[in-house]
Amino acid sequence: MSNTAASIVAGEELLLLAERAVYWPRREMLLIADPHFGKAASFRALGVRAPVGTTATSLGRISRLIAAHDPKRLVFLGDFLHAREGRTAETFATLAAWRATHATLEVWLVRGNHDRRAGDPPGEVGIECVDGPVIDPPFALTHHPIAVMGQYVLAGHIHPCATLRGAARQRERLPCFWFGADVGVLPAFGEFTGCASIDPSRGDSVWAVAGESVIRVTLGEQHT
Amino acid sequence: MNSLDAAEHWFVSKGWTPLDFQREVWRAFLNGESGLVHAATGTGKTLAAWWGPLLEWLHEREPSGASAGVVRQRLRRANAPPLRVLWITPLRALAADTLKSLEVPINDLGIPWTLEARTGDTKPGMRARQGKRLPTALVTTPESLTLLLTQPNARELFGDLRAVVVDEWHELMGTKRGVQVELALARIRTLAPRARTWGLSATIGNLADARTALLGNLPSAERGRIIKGAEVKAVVVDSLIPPVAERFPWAGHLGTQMVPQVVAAIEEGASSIVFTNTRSQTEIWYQAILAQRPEWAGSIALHHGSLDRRTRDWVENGMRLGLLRCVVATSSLDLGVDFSPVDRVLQIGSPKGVARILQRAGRSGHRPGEVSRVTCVPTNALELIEVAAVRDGIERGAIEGRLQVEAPLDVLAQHVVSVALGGGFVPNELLAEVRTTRAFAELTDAEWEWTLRFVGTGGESLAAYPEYARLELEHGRYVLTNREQARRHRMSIGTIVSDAAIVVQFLRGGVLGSVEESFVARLKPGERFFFAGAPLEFVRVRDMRAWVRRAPNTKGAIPRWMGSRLPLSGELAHLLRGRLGEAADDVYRGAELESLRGLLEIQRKWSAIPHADELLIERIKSRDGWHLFIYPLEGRLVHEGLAALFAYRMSRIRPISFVMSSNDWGMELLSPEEAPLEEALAGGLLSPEHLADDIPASLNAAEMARRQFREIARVAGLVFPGFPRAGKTARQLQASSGLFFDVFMKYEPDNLLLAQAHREVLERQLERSRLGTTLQRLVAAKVVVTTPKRFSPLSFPLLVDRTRSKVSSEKLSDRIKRMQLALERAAG
Repeated sequence: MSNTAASIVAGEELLLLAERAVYWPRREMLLIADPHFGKAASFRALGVRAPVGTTATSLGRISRLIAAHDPKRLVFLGDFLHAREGRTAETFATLAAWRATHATLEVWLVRGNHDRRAGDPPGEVGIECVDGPVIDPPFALTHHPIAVMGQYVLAGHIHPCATLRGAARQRERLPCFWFGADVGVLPAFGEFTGCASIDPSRGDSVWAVAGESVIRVTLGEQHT
Repeated sequence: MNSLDAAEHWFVSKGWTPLDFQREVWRAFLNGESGLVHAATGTGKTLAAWWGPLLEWLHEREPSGASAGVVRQRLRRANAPPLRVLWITPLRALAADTLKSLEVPINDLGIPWTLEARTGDTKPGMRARQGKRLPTALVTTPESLTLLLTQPNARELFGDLRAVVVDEWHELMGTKRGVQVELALARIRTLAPRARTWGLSATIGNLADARTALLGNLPSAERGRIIKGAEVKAVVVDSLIPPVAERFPWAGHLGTQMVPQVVAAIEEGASSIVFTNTRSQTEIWYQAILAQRPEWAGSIALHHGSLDRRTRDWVENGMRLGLLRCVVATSSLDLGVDFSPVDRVLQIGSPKGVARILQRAGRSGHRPGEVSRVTCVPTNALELIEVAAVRDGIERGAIEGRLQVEAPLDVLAQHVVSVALGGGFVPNELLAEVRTTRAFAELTDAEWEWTLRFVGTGGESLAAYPEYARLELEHGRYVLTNREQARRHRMSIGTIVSDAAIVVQFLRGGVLGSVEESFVARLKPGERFFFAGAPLEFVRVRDMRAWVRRAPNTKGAIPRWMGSRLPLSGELAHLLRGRLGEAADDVYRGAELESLRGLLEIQRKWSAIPHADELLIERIKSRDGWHLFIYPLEGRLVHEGLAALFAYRMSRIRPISFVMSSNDWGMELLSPEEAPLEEALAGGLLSPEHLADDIPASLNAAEMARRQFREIARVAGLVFPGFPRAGKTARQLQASSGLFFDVFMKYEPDNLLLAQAHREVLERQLERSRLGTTLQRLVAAKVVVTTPKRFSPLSFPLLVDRTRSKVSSEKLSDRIKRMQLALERAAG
């Protein structure tokens, strides 16, 4: 099993997983943001030859996380399906087969902007779909990283990436977990997703996913 | 009847006499031959190519060959002869100009032809009319030609075609657009067997290759002619040498110190062209000259390929009418835009190559007996040596050849879909046709099969690609009938040229031109930048347009365009080593070298000046880390490859991370700890052995293939530039080429486009053949390692270079532990 890092967020212990997911031990909950299932399929449907297997590989990663942590519930923080064009029989069959192997698991989707266009997964995938935020104190689980009064928000949407610098002009850009004062953002889980550089403030805590490890990174000197 | 009388008479009526080479081309054309004509710009190549088809038509109409019998009639599209001549020009900017010169004999002789242009600038109404019936002679770009091939009635459109003229062929060959033209010409050879192909080219080092690329890989009897045009005039290359050469900047681009001298040179003549090497430099120099001479506003202009056509038209017209004192331009004015020669031609920055300087010099002094003169303006000290080397090259006739592009499958995939739209194809027939091109002569069956599967003939197991079968089989022919996909394909045909371009437009009013999306992406609303010579304020991006308003004249960024960094040619690099070697022996020939004596003495004192048979390595420790500067003097592309190779070989000795940068003189390898140089040298750092394994490994380490994949993904249609006014839905169906590269590497590592990316890095970016021969030379060279206390004059330009790549053999997590989050923005 890969590295994890434990972090206290809003007084709760969260495990930050190198697979780009969060496990909340007290509530036995696995949190995953932005899987964008069916993205490659939607490209293919439009005549762009994207490779096959991204959805199956992502699901395999989730299964490994379930095996390692044995969660009671799994919550997707939005953008479950990528686009309407990706609603193919193959994608849904793959999803349903995966779901069947975890029949007792409770699975929720807090809808994101892509889900509004792409629509909810069909019934046989067995996912409870709701609009956010879902309040599970001290957290508000939602897609857009926008503050919710009285709760600490856990969200996705922006696919955060940290730009790191080191001696001798070394530079690296990595997906990251980004926890601010009221809002925490998870990295995008999907295999076929890009990422956007973040602009953190002092006091934020940022954890970069460096291959098999999750490493806390600190803010450098200000420079122009 | 092959009389040339009509042409002879017309020339006489203009007060000219045809040149021998023009007569030779006419006879060859009438004789059914194809060929290549090479000569400098402005020496009559256009009329050489144009009068062949005109004479043929006159002969068909009037067997005596006399033009008297032609009756001027009111010409309508419907009764004009169908398409007979296709004139292909590399730049849209040239189309209007070409049209004007072709028009003259037609009008003079009352030939009832229609003559039109079709480019990306052509208005929709005209396009629609051309869709119904093409003019008798059509001036067009490679992209628009390919678009014509996607018309369902392509076979009829080209049925009566007699001549294809490819202008400025030397500019196209050796590029993917050139391969696009090769494929289109092969198609035309099939559709229009009566058509002859003529290429017009500047004189280059490999004319026979240029001919094969143009006319196809045909049996020797059909190989075609190579006809040499008018002799070039004597060329003089001199340079503006700064008054105090020691205080000349060691590195950098602007060289503002030289602005007064440039202005003085411009004032010496009535008209000048100031050539630069990049589009951003034209913007910089235009501003600098204007700041020096504000009263020139209105009589000085700038010209580069990203400006709006109307702006360029205005500039070209101004040049023709003698209204402009000075134009600051890139190679967009190198090519055949027709205007009378100017008094002064200046070249800002490195000359880069011998052929390039000859071409630019040709813009001055066309009058008989006059010489062509180009004055080089170095922007840093070392460029002065390059000027001296160019002069050596001209004396020795060392003119560069054009590198060829081998079997680019992205271009082939695009072509196959075009043919599927243009009436469809039978695979074996199309394969035979494609193999007549030079680029695909060696295409293997496996590569062809793969390409067919890639474009979606459905030959692949459907389980692997369930949603994907674009082409349908109808009566044994593959066709593409899906209208949405046809539209996407047609829109992506122009994408070989450049990255997704964003149009720059005033909030209320006109279009200024286009910049790369990546530049706009970095702008924040309210930020200022210079474009088209104007200070602008960025407002927002909407509908694939960057909306701007005019800003007060303040400081601002200058857009940079990708792929604008030309490397030093191999010929020039060789000459440069010779000049530097002389300096090592204390020989300073000519004004340029003389002025650099002081600087080179510093180099010798602090470090060393390498002889032609030496390899200089400088090792310097600074606050930034440990620097290794290595100077093979082979041009930037070769250095990029060598930098990755050297970094990779040293990183195998022990875990270490390098950041590299390269320029035409050498490379810098920067690491946080001292690199194991001695150990590496002893263990074969410079050895040409094991290259077959080491080069791919080092390219992967440096992510070079990933960068090269950008262009491939675009051409092959993976990354779609998007529709104007595309809504959110369209954007959800975009992914970056880097993302595609990563998922292909993981899920489909045998994808041939990945293999192509590697091949292109090796052959086009790094010039593999030069890499091998360079190592042969270096391994035999005497290695001189110095440890200067300060950065030497040779190392200085590398220090300020900001384009860097990296190679590391450390674990990512180990590297990250020493790094910190970067703040992109300064506080306040």
